[in-house]
Amino acid sequence: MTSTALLKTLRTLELFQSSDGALSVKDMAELSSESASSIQRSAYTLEALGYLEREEGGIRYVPGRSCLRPVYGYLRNNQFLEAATPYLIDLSERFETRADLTVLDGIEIVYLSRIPSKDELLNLSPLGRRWPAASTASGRAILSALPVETRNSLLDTARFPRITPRTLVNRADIDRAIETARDLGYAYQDEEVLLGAASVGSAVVDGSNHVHGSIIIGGPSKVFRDDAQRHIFGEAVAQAAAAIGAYLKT
Amino acid sequence: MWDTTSAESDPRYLSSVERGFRVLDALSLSSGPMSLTELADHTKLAVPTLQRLTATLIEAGYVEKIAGTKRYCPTVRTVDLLYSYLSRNQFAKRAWPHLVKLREELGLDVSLSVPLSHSMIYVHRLPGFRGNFENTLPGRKVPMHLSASGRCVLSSISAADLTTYFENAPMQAITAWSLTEPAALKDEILHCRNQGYALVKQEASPSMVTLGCPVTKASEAIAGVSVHIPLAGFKEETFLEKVLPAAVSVSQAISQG
Repeated sequence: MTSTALLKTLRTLELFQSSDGALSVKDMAELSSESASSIQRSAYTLEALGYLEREEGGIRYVPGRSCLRPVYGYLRNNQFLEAATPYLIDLSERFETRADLTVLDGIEIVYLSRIPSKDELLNLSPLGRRWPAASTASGRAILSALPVETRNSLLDTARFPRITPRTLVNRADIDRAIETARDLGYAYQDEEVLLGAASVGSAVVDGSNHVHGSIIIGGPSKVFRDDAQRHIFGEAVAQAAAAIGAYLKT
Repeated sequence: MWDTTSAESDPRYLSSVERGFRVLDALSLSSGPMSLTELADHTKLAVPTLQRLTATLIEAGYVEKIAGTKRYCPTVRTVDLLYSYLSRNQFAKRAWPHLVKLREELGLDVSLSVPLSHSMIYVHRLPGFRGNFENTLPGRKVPMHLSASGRCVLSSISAADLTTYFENAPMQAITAWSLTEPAALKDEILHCRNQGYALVKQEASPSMVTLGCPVTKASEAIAGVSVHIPLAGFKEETFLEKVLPAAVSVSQAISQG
């Protein structure tokens, strides 16, 4: 009872999420198990609807501007995002840092909001960027707030890729970082995702112990390496997260 | 540029794909989860068709059925579509640091939008220091002729294309202040062409004023940079003095050729 053409076409569009650069119909056929003529129809329709565009008028495609359409309702009707936005703006202004919001999807975190700062070179994550939860401050904050069994079953299925030379790749080290986050009320990572960049994050938990996601502030590593300064940042995100959680309870 | 009528008759065109995206569009424009009956009203599709399409969209991960109800809503997978655009589009990537700088300089809501059929759609939205939630969300669509950036885009097309636009674009008001008469709108667009920017007061968002500056490629306007300010406290002369040079310099910096 499903539409095969629609499903195949959505999978074709998703090929761009797991590969680099622009793709021709031939590239797409090679990356998928579909025939070139089936891909041809999908690509033609996606282009007609604006979900694919030709790169520089050539034969290769990139995702088109219609890809911006379906997300609006998801974001606008997201109460967590709405409740958190004033806090993100406030944190970003107070500390002159970037402030972001993420949610957990599977064993990855996904960026849903980002308030930029002057240190924009240290923020290369557009909205929707995914990272392995175990390697990020926000992911560790979320994992630290989940029941231990849930956390373990998630981590048991996860791989821990080395994103930078400083990424923790060993389960015991990751468990320890998550335990520390639970004790402190905020998680910390330094250069594990991007060299030169650090962040602290805290989970947003509502009155019925549902974990909604995490808020983070981030900036240059050297600022965060100062223990006292990092603690000020950590306490601030933890307080903001608690305030958002309290609001979501009602 | 304006419609897909010719594509629909092509044998390669998959109408079930168009219908699937029509369902995603309806869910995106809704202020909450929708039942199949509501979806039928908004998409003009029959309920059995919608059952098949929602089942497919659930299987693909873009839609979920709210537990214990018969209502549907979009999922976090829709954010992946946004990301696939933002991460591949060189123009969107190049524009971002300029917009960050403009926001820092002005402390106001700043955005970038591009034309999509008869609308402008937001690519980037950066909330100002007192920005509100709504002004942080990408993906919102505004009728092109009611958008400041959209009027910049319309001001760069030929008179014949402009006539075609007004013959085809829906003309309903979206606020109490929206202009809906093509003649009055054409005057505004002409005014925008002469002065090189557009100022739109409350026509797209109540109590907001928007300044739009065109981003061009060759001589065509391909996007617009906008600065948004609450109407309360807005003084046109001081606003333009402060904001226009900064917005123009950013729109030129991301223009090509």
